[in-house]
Amino acid sequence: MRNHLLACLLALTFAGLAAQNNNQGTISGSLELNGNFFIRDSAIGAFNLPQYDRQLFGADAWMDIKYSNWGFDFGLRFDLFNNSNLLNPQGSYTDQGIGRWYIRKQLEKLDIEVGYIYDAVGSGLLYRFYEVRPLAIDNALNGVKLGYQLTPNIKVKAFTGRQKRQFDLYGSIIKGMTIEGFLSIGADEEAGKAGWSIAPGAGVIHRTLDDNTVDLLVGTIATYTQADRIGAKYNVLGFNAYNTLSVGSFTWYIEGAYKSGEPIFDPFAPKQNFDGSTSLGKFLFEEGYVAYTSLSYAMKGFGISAEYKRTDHFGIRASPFASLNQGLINFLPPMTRVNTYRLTARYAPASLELGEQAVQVEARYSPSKKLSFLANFANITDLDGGLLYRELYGMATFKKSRKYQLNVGIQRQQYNQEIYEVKPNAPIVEALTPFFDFSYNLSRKKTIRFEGQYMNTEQDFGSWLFGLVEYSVAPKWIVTISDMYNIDPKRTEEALNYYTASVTYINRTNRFEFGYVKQVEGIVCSGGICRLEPAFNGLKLNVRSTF
Amino acid sequence: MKKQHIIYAVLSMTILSCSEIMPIIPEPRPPEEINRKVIIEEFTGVTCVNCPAGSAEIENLLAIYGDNLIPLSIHAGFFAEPDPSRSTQDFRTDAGDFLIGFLGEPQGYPSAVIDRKLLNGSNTLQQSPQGVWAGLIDQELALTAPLSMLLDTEYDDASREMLIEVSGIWSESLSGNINLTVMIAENDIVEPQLTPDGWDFEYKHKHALRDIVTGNGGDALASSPRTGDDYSQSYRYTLPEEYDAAAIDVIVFAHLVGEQLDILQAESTRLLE
Repeated sequence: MRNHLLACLLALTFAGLAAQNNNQGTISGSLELNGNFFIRDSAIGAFNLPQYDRQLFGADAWMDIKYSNWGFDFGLRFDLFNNSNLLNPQGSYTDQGIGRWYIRKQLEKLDIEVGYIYDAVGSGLLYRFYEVRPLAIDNALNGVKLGYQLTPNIKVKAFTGRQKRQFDLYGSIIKGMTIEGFLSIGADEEAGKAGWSIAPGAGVIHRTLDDNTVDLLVGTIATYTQADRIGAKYNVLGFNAYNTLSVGSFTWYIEGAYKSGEPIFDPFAPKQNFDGSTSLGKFLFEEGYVAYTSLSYAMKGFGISAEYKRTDHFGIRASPFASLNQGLINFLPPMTRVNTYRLTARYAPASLELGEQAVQVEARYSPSKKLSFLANFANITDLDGGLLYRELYGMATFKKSRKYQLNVGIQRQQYNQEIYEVKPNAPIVEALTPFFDFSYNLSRKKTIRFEGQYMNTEQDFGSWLFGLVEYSVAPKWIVTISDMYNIDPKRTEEALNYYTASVTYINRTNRFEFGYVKQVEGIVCSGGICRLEPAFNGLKLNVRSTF
Repeated sequence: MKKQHIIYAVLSMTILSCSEIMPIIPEPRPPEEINRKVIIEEFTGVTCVNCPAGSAEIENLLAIYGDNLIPLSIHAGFFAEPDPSRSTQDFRTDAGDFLIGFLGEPQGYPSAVIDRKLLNGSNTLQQSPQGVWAGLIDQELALTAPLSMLLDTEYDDASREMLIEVSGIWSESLSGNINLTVMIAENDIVEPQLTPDGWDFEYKHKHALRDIVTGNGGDALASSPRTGDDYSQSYRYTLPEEYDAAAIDVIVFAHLVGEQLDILQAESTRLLE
C-alpha cells in the first residue's frame, strides 16, 4: 500500500514537473515482458509443477519510467509475476506492484539518492546491490545514499537501508561507506607517454539483524547439543580494500575482504542430534575472507589476462536464514568464461561462498584482421584441493570482411556435479565439445548462420548433438530453428530431441520474439550465481521495448 | 582537517560495531512451560537427496520437544515422483497434491510449513532449509493456545473402521470462522529413498501423510467462539487395507479459515496406543 501511494506520488510529480517545465525534461523508459505457455511433457520431466498441471500460462513483466529535469532523476518500475517460475523454478509465484522507485539529486559536490538503490564497491566482494531478472534476483537497497566529491580525484559515499525481498524488505539494517580515489602520474599525451595510474578504494559494511531474526537464531541454536553450540550475534562487519594499477599496457587489480564472525548455515556440516544420530546441516560461527586479483596485458593483436580468487566462508546475507539466491548482500565474481553456445554453456559452476580456490587465464592473438585465436583455462578447487571445475577452451576465428565469418573451437570440461547440483555420488562430468559457428552474408541485408556442437560425455545425460540454423533479414526479421539431440542417452531409454523454433521481429526500438521451446533440465547462471532449472516445454513470447 | 574527521568517524563506527552484548543461548524450552502443540508439515520426496537431512532434523526436534511437536511428511511435488526402477509404492496422495497447492510450492526441498503461519517475515508459508525450523517451532511453542483439545480414538480391527472424537473448551474469544482438520499418517514404512550416500533400500519413512479425513481445507468447528464455549466433533473412517493400523497416527488441528490459515492448537495419537 505504501508503495502504491509512493508510485502515485511519483507519477503525479512526473506529470507536474513535465507540465510546469513545458516538457523540457526528458522521459524515457523500457518494457520487458515474458509470456510462457506451458505444455506438459512427462518424457522430458516437464510436469508435476503447477504451471504444467493446472496453470498453463505464466508471465513476467517489468516497466521502467525515468524522468530527468533540474538536476533531479526520478525513476519508477512496475513489476509483475503471474504464475512465474523465475523466483522458484520448482514452483509458481504470483504478485505485482511497484518494484522500484528512486529520486536522485546532484547538489554541487553532493549526490543524494533515496529509494531502491543499485550500487557496488570494487568487484562487489563486499556489497553489490543489483538486479538479475532471469534469476529473479533484485537485491536493491531500500534506503538513502550520499556521495561527496572530496577532491577532484577522491570521492566518499555512505548509505543505509534495508534489502528488498520481492515486494517486501528484510528486517536487518545495512549501512556502509566507501572511499575511492584516482591518481595519474607521468602521463603526457602530447609526448605519447603513457605513465601510470592507481585507482585505490576501501569500503566498510555493517549489518544488524532485527530482534525477530536473532530470536529465531537463538531458538535454533538452543536445540543443538553442547557439541554443536555456537554463539549468536546481531552485527556483522566487513571491510575491503582494492586497487587498480595501470602501467603502460599492464593493468593489475587486487582486492581483499574480511568479515567478522557470525552464524552461517552450512548444509553439509555434520550435526550431532539429541537422539544420538548425526545429520547434515547446522549453523557454524565463522569469520570470512576472500582475495581476488587480476592481471592483464594488452598490445596490438595480443592480449592476456589472469585471475585468481580464494574464498573462505565469505557470504554476507540480509538474514542468516536466507538461502540459495535470496538475501545476498555481496557478490563473488565467477572465475570461468561466459560461454554462449548451447552445449559449451551446459555445465557452468556457481561461485561457492563456503570455500573455493580458482584461477583463470585467457589469451587472445590476432595475427591479421582475418584471423584470431582465443584460449582460456579455468581451474576451481575446494580449499583442500578437491577438483570442482576445470575448463580448457580454444577457438579460432576466420573472417572475410562482409562475406563470412567462421568460428571453430573445442572445449574440455570437468564439472563436479555432486557439489554444484547436490547430486550425491554423481561422478565428475567429463565432456569434450567441438563446435563451429559459420555466418554467411547472402546479400547486404540477408545473412544465414549455422551452429553445430557435439558434446561427448559418458556422465549425466550422456552425449549431445546440437544444430542451429538462423536466417536474418536486417534489420527486422530473424528466424531460428535448432535441435539438441541426446545422441547417447544415459538417463532416458530413448534418445530425445529438444526442438526450438522462433521468429523475431524488430521494429526500431521494439523487439518481439515468439517461439516453441523444448529445453532439457540444466544449470542457468548469471555472473557467479547459478541454479538448477527444470526442463521446459511450451511456447515463449518475449517483448522488449525502449522509449 | 575535514578529511581527518571523516577518517575518525569511519574508525569510530568500525570499532563500535565490533562490540555488542551477545544474546544468551538458553536450554531448549522445558515441557512444563509449553501450553500448546505445533504442527510441522514437511514436504519431501523419495528422489530428494537432501530430504533425509530434513527428516533427521524432525526426529531431533521430537527428541527435544516430544509430544509437543506433531510432524507430517507430505510426499508431493517434483521430488515425490517414484523412481521407476526402485520404488515399490507411490507415497503421493490426493491430499498431498491438494496441500502443495493450498500451502504453496517449496522453494527448495526439504521444506516445511510450521503451524501454517507466515513466519520470519516470509511471503510464503514454506520454510527452507531445515536449519530454520527449530527457531520457528520454538517461537510457536512459546505461544498460548486459545483452546484445549482432547483426542480419543477407537478402532475395530475386523472392519478396520476407526472412530475419532475431538473435544475441548475455548479459553479465549476469537472472531471469524475456525475449522478442524483430521489427518491420517503412517510410520515406519520401509521404502527406497535417495540419500547423500546413494539409494537406501532399507530407509524407514515416518509420519507419511496418507489421507485427510475431513474436507481438505477442514470442516467447520466454530464461528467467533467465546471464552468458555465448548466443542465436540466425531468422525468415522475406514482404514484402507494396505496401511498398517499399528503404525497409524491420527492428527487433528484447529485453524483459521480464509486469508490466514494459522493453526491454533493440535493433538495427535497413535491409533493402537
